[in-house]
Amino acid sequence: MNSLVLLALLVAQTSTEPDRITIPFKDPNRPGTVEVRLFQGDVTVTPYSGREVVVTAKSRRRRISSTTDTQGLRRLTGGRFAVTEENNVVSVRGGSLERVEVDVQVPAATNLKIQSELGGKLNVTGIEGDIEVTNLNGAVTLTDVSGSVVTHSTNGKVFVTMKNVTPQKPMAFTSVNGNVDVTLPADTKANLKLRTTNGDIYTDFDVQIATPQIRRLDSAPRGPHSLIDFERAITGTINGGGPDFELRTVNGNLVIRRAK
Amino acid sequence: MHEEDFRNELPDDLRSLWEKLDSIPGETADSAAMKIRFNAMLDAYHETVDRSRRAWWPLRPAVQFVIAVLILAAGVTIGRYFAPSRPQQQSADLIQLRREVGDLREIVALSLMQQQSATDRLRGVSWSNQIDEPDGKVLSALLDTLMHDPNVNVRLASIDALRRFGERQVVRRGALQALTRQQSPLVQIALIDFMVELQEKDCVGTLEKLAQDDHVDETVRKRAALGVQDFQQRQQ
Amino acid sequence: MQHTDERLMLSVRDGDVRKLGLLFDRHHQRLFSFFCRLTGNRTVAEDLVQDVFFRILKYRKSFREDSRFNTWMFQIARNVRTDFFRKHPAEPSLQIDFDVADRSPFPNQKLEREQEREKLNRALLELPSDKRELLVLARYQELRYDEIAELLNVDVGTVKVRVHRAMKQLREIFNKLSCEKNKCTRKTSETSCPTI
Repeated sequence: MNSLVLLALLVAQTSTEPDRITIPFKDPNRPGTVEVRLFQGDVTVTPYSGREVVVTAKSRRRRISSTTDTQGLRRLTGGRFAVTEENNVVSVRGGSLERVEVDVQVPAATNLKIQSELGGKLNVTGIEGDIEVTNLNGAVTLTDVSGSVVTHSTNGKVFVTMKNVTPQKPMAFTSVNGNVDVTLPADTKANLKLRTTNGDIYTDFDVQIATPQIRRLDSAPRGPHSLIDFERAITGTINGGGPDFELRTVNGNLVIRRAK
Repeated sequence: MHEEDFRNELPDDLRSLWEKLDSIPGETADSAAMKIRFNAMLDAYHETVDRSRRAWWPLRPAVQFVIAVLILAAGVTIGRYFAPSRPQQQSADLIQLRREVGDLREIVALSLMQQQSATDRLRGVSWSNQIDEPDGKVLSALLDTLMHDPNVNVRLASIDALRRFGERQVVRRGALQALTRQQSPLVQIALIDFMVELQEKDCVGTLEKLAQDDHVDETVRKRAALGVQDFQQRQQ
Repeated sequence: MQHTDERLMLSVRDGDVRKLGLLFDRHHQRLFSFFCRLTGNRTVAEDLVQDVFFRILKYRKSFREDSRFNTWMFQIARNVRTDFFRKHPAEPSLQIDFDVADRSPFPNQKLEREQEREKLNRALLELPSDKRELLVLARYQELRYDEIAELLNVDVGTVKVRVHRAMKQLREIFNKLSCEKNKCTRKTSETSCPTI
């Protein structure tokens, strides 16, 4: 029951010949989890009406010109992915030094754990579940997602729009070099912990705050920054308060928008 | 009384024995104490198991089982304190029970911090924040989370939770050690700020090294340098 | 306005978990006495009561519209009892204050009654646990024949027979205890053993 089943070795072909594989969840009646761990590459996750996980991989590498003499040489490059399923968790792991594009289609209610070691663009659209996305170099874009989000990009912007928020779940949206821009349903209850070192904070939520340093969307001026100024988290509540939502960046702005 | 029906069914020779059974008095429960314990169980159950039903990814069955076992195990400990109590002993027993309820919260926090999903571990960290006097176990778990949690945001949250206990030696040591090992810029910056806030002079050497290390993120280096400056300024 | 136990339990089943507190208020004392008589130990009895309510919470979905709360609760209590005795096969310690030692050679009537009561309780505790449980349910818990029959999943006739047998065995043990105390022989009915 708990055995790891290596379902396939996905090989990323060139962009003219994508490799595709379909993996079922062990128990399709329960929301499953999809983990994608790439060394380098773009990942896009979208929902579809089926109950399985469809993974398509393409490589960006251009074909080696046929005039190059490759006789007797072993090919070292080429993306290979191991795809496994264990206990309702589908794992896609691998990657290489070349950029690959991985497209994943999942049922709309699926938990996600997406990680890129070196970088790339990580995109998720329309999924509902516990969503964890971590990137080193590259943007994280989560559009119209629901459930709970814990996300970080070290060098890249974090852009999230949420349709529904699961109550009582803490969340985090962080970056080091990049803006963090989050849209939440207007009735979201949360304790906001906001912090940026070099940047501003904008919101159109009605935040009950401790220190009045938040600028409204319609105003403009930048605040002063003293040389030795270790700012503290600015905390405030929306809609009476709830679980902690942490928005943090070092070099970038924080924007928290109310969904219309 | 229903027991009469039974009595009437018995032959005469057994009937008097049946009647004599009446002489065994019933025991009176310590209702107040039992209610407190019951409520603690209800709270813990409600918090962790019931709420998960609304989430998309329910707490793994293993967690529910662990919590159930721990609640019962804690319950057995609580039970030991309720030997037939005399009135003057009661308040001492209740105080003990309240302490045990705090332990329940701790059990849940520790359990949550071990979960597969980052959201659950974040919850565990914030639960431990609500414990007034966490013991070594909770602080250890937080320090462990700081050093080893695979998710950068969870590590960040643990620093916030540890902030309250900055004056404890074990926390200062742990944070300093983390500073020498952590690689994620966000965590490094938070740790630098923490050290400066604590005025932990032992960290100056580490800060200087960070400021000069080419492999370290530039933002972190700048922050470390500012930190060193801050310490030097305060000494003047 | 008083709600029936069934109404409350259905609310709990359907999500209003807090209502379990009302059921706790109503029934914990009864369950406590039940377990006290079964185990002879207050501390253990408390733990077992809490265990029952935990299981009521955990298995609340199995309570149906046509279930009777009383029998359902006692079914759970019996399971708790079975599990406990399986894990603790040794005789539970007698925590309740009994003193079956020899008293002064000039017993007055009150003392005699006390001694008898202690002996009886001791005898009850020496009965095999399922027989003990049956007697406790029938004698003290205010359950009817048909309720006990439902609980044990047998017919009413069987319940009567079992109660009868249990009482006979209780008497045997009681007499044996009396004999031991008076150090008399058990040869004939002409001994000085008090018999019932």
